[in-house]
Amino acid sequence: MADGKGNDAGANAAEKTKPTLALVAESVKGCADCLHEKLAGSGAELIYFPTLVDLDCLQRDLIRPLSQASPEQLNSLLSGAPYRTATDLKSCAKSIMDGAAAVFAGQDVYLFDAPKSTGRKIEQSETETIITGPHDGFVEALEENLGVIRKRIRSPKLKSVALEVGEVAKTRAILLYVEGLANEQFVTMLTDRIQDIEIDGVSDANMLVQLIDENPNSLFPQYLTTERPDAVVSKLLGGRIAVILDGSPSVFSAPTAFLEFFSSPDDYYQRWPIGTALRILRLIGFLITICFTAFYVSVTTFHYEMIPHTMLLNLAESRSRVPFPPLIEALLMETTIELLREAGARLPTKIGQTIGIVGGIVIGQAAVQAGFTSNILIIAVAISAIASFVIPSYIMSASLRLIRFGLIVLAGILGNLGLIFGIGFLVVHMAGVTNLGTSYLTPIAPAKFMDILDTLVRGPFWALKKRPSLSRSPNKTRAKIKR
Amino acid sequence: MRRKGIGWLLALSLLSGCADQKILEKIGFARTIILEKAEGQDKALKVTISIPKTNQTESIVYTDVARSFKQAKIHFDMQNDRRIVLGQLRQVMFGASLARQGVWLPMESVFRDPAIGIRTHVIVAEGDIGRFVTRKYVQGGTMGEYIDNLLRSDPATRGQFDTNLHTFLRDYYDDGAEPVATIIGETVEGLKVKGIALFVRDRYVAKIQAEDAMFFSLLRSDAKNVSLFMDEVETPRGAGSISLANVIGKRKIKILSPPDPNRKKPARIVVELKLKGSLMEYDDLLEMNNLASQPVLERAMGKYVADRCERLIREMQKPGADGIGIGSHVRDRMRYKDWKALDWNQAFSDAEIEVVADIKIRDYGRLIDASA
Amino acid sequence: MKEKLNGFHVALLIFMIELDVTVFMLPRMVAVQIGTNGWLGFLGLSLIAAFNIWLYRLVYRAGQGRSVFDISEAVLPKIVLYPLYASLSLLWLGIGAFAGKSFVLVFQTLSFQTSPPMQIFAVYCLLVYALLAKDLYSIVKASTVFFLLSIWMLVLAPYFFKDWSIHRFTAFFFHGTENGHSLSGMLDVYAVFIGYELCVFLFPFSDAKTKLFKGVFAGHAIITATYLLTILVSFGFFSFEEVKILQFPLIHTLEYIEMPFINRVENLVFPFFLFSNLVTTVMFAFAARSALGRMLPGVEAKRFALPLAAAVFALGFLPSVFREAAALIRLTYFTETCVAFILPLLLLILIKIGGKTSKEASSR
Repeated sequence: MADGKGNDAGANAAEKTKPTLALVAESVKGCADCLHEKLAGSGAELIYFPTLVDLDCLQRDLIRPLSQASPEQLNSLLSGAPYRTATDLKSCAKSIMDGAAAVFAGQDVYLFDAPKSTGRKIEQSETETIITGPHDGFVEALEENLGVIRKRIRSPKLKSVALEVGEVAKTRAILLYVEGLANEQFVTMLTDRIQDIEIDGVSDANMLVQLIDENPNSLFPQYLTTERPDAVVSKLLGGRIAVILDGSPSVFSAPTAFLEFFSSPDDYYQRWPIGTALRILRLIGFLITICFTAFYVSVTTFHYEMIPHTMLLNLAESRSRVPFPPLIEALLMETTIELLREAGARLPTKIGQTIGIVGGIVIGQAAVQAGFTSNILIIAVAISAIASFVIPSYIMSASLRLIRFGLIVLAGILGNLGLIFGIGFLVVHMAGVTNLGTSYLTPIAPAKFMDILDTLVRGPFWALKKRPSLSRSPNKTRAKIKR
Repeated sequence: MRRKGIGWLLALSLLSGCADQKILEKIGFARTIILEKAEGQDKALKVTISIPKTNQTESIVYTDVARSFKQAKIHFDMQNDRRIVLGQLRQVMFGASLARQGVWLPMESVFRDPAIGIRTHVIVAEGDIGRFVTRKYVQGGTMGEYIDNLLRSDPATRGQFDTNLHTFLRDYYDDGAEPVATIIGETVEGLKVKGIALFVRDRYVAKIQAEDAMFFSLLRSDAKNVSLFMDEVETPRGAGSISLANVIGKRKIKILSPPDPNRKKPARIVVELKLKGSLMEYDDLLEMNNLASQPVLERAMGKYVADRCERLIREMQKPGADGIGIGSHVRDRMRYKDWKALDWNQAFSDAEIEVVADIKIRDYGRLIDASA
Repeated sequence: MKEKLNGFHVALLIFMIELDVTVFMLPRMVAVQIGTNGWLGFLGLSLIAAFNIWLYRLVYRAGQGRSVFDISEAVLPKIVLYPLYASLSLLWLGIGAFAGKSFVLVFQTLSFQTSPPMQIFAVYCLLVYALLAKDLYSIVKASTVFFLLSIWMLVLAPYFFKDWSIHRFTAFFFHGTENGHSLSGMLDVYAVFIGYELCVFLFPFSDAKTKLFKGVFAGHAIITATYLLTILVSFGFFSFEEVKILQFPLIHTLEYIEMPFINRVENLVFPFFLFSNLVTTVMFAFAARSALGRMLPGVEAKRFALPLAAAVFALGFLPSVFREAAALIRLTYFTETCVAFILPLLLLILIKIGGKTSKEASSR
């Protein structure tokens, strides 16, 4: 950042400065991977980064023709496409960094764009796998990602705004929206926010969203990030705005509400009753993951009356050998599960399996037999953990797992009332969260009945005639299907 | 905001003691309370409490003579290694002699405690109750669990109605009904439902024999899956026994005229029963494959049930214990002042109550006829 | 805030304000004060409350949506109004505090019997603070979610059908009251409706499009239906004399529910009433905030949250046992009932006078 500020004056001057060989060479000085060659035939000089340019293309379309040409032919040869003239030093340097080769022919400087495509090919997303539906996922390269989206929305109405993030890194970002569907106000708001970021660099979209949300201290993610192009396309068509960041396989869309984190694109590929059942299942998963262990703690610590008498003695028997109070017991087990999960995530798949087996035996059998925990708690913890993975968004699922700890502590202090207090705090907090000025709790509060058809449940397509009200789209109708 | 809240809460929890914690393994949950008259002592109760152990087959039993249930509980707490709590109480058993004397005071002490669930069964026990609790049962488990399951599963004597704290108190306070409780006694094999105790206010005044209990359940509410056994059904071909299973039906109480004590006119009431059940046993009383004979059999059964129920009602009328809640129907037909002036227990004793039963054979099992 | 309150949300808000700790005793109050088949009399009281809401509607129409403060300050000097504002604020904070404290005390009859109630109340006040620190629009959003977290309890009502009998209602009307029918007795029952009068503070947040009063009436209708269901369940489930002696008939009904996987659901269901109590406290504190904000116009609204929550907490010290809390609730709710009726009448008069003076001013 400091660097950026210091160079401001210089940068302004550079804009007017005509690029010369000496100046350009100066700007890339110290970059060992930068190549500076002089071509034999025409005498033109080249400056480029072999790491950034496609060398085949360069050889074929630049070096070979220029080597064969005479110095007199040089300027006429370079005057047309695919070569362009560089007018100022700053953009010239930037183009070189983008993968262009600078050609110095006498006083004039030309640029030849031959960016090398690097990174992996389009493949399935590892964090968001689905069974039916398109299997391609975003990759790190911005162009690839943009291409995947453009292929799906083949309309010039899909507008893109090029942005730059990071004072030093200058990572490219593209803001996408469909003209006429997206709310222009949101587009300006989001563009401004991204432009206003002053930071050295941003390495992932999930990091970028934290720099532009309204509630930086909230536990909840406020922009939906996804690695699935079909999800982004459906958001764009719903009137949302999407932002692709170069180098990040996650694309985020805005505005977003809480319940969107519980829907997955394949809900739409199933028949609607099944899609609805899945949505409800995930909401049940949400409740279980935040409340179930806490409820166990509350019941075993304070509300023994609630346990059915058939279960009571078994539970008491199992508990009787445990040295810890339920609160500590539950926190220990939850921490163990989190340790296992974290360890599994850090390790390569093959070793990860070992972790699963070790964990399964340790927490499943041995812990109960050793009198370390009660067997019902194992079930509670396991169900909570499984339920947390039902939530399609990994970021949200991680947030909920942390909230679970808070609720467990509250339940251990005030029993069921503590649990309800905790839920109360959550609701109060969420009522204050906004995303681009829209309510995080839409469509519950403010209530939008048409939206509930596409959030809590997945209504049949003939019922989903309107775009989500959250996007405040100027064009509200999305389908004109008759039953 | 949330995290700040949690911080506060942690601070608060450190300040507060853990006096209100009832951690599962640190408490002893009483399953059964038995309240009896203390022999030879006035104003004293013999209180027995049974706490099941976690091995599920044994229980800890304490007995004490005290002024009240709560005083006895204090004595038990002095002995027990875990704090005794009452939230998992399943039964309150009254000794028959205490029940005859009146159960209100101990009942009030049980009902007032918010920890005790209002679904706790109210039972009158006959015989040597001290043995009940210590005995081993082949049915498995402790007595508390045994009785609990018995009362839930037994359709033969009680139909579907439940006698618990809630129904007892509800009928106790209702001026048009009197409470009832299940009577449990001992047999060689275990425990047995021995009948139904009729109360007037809080006093146990009469007993309905177990054989009659199913007919009582027909009178008390709509029948839901009751088993009926009729031993002497009179038919044109002679008398014999019939058994009906899976009986469902409706009970209707018709008030022909409410009581008029000024003119010494008793109430005239008809109880209509409409029952339907599967014929499971019959002594070849009629030819079942003869379609005309089935209605005859149904009528014969109807008469039997009506007679039996009427006899039952006469028995209830003697002490004036309206365990089936006819009073609440009579009340609907009277003016407030008249009803308040009326002594319903007396009026119930004097009432002319008739029972009409309409029985339909839904099916007769696998066989159409036994002979043929 | 530029955002306006939708009528639908107003309805839910009014529901949540009206539903508070008084509902636990409602069936008993109806039985003791109105007598047999008291639900009919209860409906009558609900109509009176509806009439009162209609008065507020007159104020809204006549004042053309001006806020109460604008209406009264146009006529009366500040020196008269400020003590009034201050005392009303105190009253509202008191209602909020006592309702919250009673909730804690009722909770303590079920569990946590020996914990200091003020500790639990402190957590409650923390929630009050968290909510009060937000704008009205956020409070309404939270209360909408809280509504959903409360209304599901109605699903439990069919559970009692099996043990419910119409004959326990008796065929008598309004007999068997403890000491006849008295105005104070009716006020005791009427207290369950208290809360609708806060619609007066929603004037600035509504316009012609938002259908404020449709929402208020709808909210009042939903709450009346809910209360009615509570009364009907209790009256048919318990015998009449029993309802009269049960401390909290509503909780007792919940106690009866037993499911294969969970017993004694009152332990779980009761805490859910926290939300409706919370909204009651917060909205009364919000009313106080509006009044105080008028007296101290320089102070940002959010700044009031902490002192107001602290005041609620401090007032919570007044009642230490349930008897005292009930007495204070009675006192404050009675006063508030009077305020609820006097306020619209006063405002109507003020609008009349104000209208004349402004007309005179304009004619000159």
